[in-house]
Amino acid sequence: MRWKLLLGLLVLSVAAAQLPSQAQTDLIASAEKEGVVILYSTLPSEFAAIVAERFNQAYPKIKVEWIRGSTSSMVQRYLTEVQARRVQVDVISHNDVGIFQEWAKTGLLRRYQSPEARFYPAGLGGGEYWTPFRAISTVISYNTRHVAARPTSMKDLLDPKYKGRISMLDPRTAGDALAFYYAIRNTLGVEYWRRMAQQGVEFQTSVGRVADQVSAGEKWIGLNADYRVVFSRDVEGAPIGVVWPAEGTVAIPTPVAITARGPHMNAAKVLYDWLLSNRGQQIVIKDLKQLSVRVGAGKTAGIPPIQAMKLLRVDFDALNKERNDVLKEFSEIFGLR
Amino acid sequence: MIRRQAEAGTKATGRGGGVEVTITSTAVVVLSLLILLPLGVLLAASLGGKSLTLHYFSQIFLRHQIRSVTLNTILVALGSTSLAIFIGVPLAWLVHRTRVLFSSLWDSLIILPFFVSPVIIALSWLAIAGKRGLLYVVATRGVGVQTGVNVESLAGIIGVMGLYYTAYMYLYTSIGLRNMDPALEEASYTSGASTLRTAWRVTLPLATPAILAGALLVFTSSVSHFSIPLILGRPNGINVLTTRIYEMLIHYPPEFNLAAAISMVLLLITATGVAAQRLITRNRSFITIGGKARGEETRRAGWVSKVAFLICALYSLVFVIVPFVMLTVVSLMRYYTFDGPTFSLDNYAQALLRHPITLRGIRNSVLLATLGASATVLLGSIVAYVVVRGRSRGKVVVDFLSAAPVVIPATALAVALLATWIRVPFLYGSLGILLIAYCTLYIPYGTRAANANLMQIDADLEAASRTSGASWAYTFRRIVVPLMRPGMSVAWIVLFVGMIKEISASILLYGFGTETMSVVLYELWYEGSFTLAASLAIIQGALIAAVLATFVFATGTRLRSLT
Repeated sequence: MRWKLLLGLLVLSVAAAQLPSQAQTDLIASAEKEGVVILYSTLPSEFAAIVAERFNQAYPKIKVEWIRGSTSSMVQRYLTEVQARRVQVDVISHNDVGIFQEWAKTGLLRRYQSPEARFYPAGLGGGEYWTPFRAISTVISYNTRHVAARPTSMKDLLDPKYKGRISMLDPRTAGDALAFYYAIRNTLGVEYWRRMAQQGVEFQTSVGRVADQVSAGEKWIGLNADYRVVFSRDVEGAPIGVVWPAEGTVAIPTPVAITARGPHMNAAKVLYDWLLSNRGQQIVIKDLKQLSVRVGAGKTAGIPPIQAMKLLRVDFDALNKERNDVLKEFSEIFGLR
Repeated sequence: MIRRQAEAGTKATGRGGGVEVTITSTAVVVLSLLILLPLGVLLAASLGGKSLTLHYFSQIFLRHQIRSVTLNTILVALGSTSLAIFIGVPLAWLVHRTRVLFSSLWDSLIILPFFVSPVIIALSWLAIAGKRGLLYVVATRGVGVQTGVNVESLAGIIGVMGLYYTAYMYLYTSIGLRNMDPALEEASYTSGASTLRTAWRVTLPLATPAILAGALLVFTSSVSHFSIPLILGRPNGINVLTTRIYEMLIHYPPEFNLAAAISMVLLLITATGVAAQRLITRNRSFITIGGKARGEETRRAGWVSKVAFLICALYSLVFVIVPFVMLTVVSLMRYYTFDGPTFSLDNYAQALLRHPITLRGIRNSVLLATLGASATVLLGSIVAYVVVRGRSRGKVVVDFLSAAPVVIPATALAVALLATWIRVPFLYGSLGILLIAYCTLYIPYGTRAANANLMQIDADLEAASRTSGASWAYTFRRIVVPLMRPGMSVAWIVLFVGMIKEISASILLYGFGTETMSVVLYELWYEGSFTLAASLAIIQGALIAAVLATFVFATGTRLRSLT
């Protein structure tokens, strides 16, 4: 009988956890009064549209309005708004963890303890200021029509046959690409990128463009975000293959955060909670086809779980300090200054 | 006593008086705020802001990439100007000096690109001859050869820009041809010279000042041109100075001071070009409108008119009609490919009914263009009235200031406005800053149009009003405004169309919720939704066409007078 009682208690406590608390109900009521929440993200439009649509199904009285752009343009837009004292954005998500760390320190993010945050490993950082709402690893993609023997490592890309055939997400604009550039530089040495520069790499500011170039055979190799390559392969049916480099890669826990002075604070919290909730994460996994770092959220088709990846460590604090020098070095190596 | 009467008389004819002084000084203040203040802030920013330095100017020459971008800009400007002269001048001669069939149809078709956003023209050429365009697919899949034609290159930018500015060269040359005394050509023919010899030895030299003035205009415009390199160059790493400024400002960390320094250089180039143009049109007056009756223009018949027909038809078809057809085709594709495309009207449904940002863009652009055109016409009329009819000393200042924005490239103005107004609450990210930019850019046009209008109105009418005891304001409202209305409504339409198309300044100044149609169109395309962007381009084209057509039919104005 005792286990039945225990079970009953467990069921009750789970049910209680499911029931919205008074605070939660109040929050939703004030959010609905605000009626709108504005999201700036680096999600491609078609994905951002899905997020907005699903959220509106869950909360019909709160409308998500969004714009999207590269990491560097979203960062610049928010900082300009701060400078102009006209902050429009409520919730922001981009791919530069270092900048979020910086913002948390300088008071540009709102401190908020989401009830969903406890499902996220503390080791990923963020805490009360931001939470990783998805994760992106950088992969080698290749055109299967043009590349017979698939490359397996970053060193393979130095093969002369790829000269003029490589494109890459631009580290100057994409936070994940910058972290990847930085990690490879620290592992294989700056010399590696100098040799890549001899190969004639073309840089693109959006994941879609790199994927399109490789799909169309204009380029044979693309260093790109995992999910966009998998999307080209599985959804668009493009002749594109994906490899996680043997040397290891970088998996960026892409943060989402609430801005310090956004106009719709409550709606922002509701959106934030929802994005991190199991429901929101299932959309990340199934619709956005990206990795979730929520404990127990499940696997993403086509992408190995982060635990199974060989990862290169990135010290985001160090990257933060060195950012300008690293970017300068990058531009000089590739003749972009 | 007599003196007193004279003074009273001056007053009565509406010149001078407190109201005028007030209005003149208000105009000076408003124009200074709009023009001088931002330019001052821009100059300060280019010199490093707080601590003065020439570091940023030296960067333009020292930094490898900026140097190559400068070289690109010069190549693009020289190349496209040459191309525009090479095509535009002969076309003008063919349409205006031969008895070509349907000459007025060709005239309208050739100037059509004038009314279309260069973004749209670049996109349509992308569909024809881009890396994944029709020509490429037909050549590689159908015939199995590489055409080597690719507009996504420096040569492509020069080509498309040259074609875009051909309309300008054509217009300038045809004005020169029209204002020419036909007796000189007649004399050449009577002396037995052939058609081509007369064209070469008589017509061309007479039209040279007009052509030169046109060429300088095209050169300065192409130095500060933004849209075509934005589409055909930037995604492939080919930049010109304006697109580089854009990149410097939208990305973190921004390079504001360098962007300001480059803006100053652009401004200097434009100012030099405009000054040179003024010098030419002043020293060798090619405008020969006189009171004397003139003969009819001589138009040649025979083989030359048949050749003219062929060339005009071919040009209009290949360079005007086909691009728009192609863009329409792209707007109907489900996804962008010429390799087995499938079609639907879904993009239009998406753009007009479902997509939140396209709708916002259309609404913002229509609102901005309506307000902007009205404000500019009003401001232009007041400024012109002060300058043409006024007597106060300040009018020289007003005249100078109102013409000054001619030398400010839109990109440079946007940088200056950002630097100036960023810290003023509620201006950045509002429609207000866009409105300020639009009015500033178009004040010279509004003023010039009002000037021309006012010159045609006899000052006696106003004097009569004032002598009958009407106030300055009453006279302006009841006499001047009604008389200027027909002319200024033409100006309003031109401004409206110009503002609907605007992108160079808007793209740096828009914020969340204040996206304009051209900005949305570009952002959609840049992210990869070419087909949706194409449908928005067609919607923009249709909107402009509807406005122009309504106006042309309602008032009987010729399309030409709207350029």
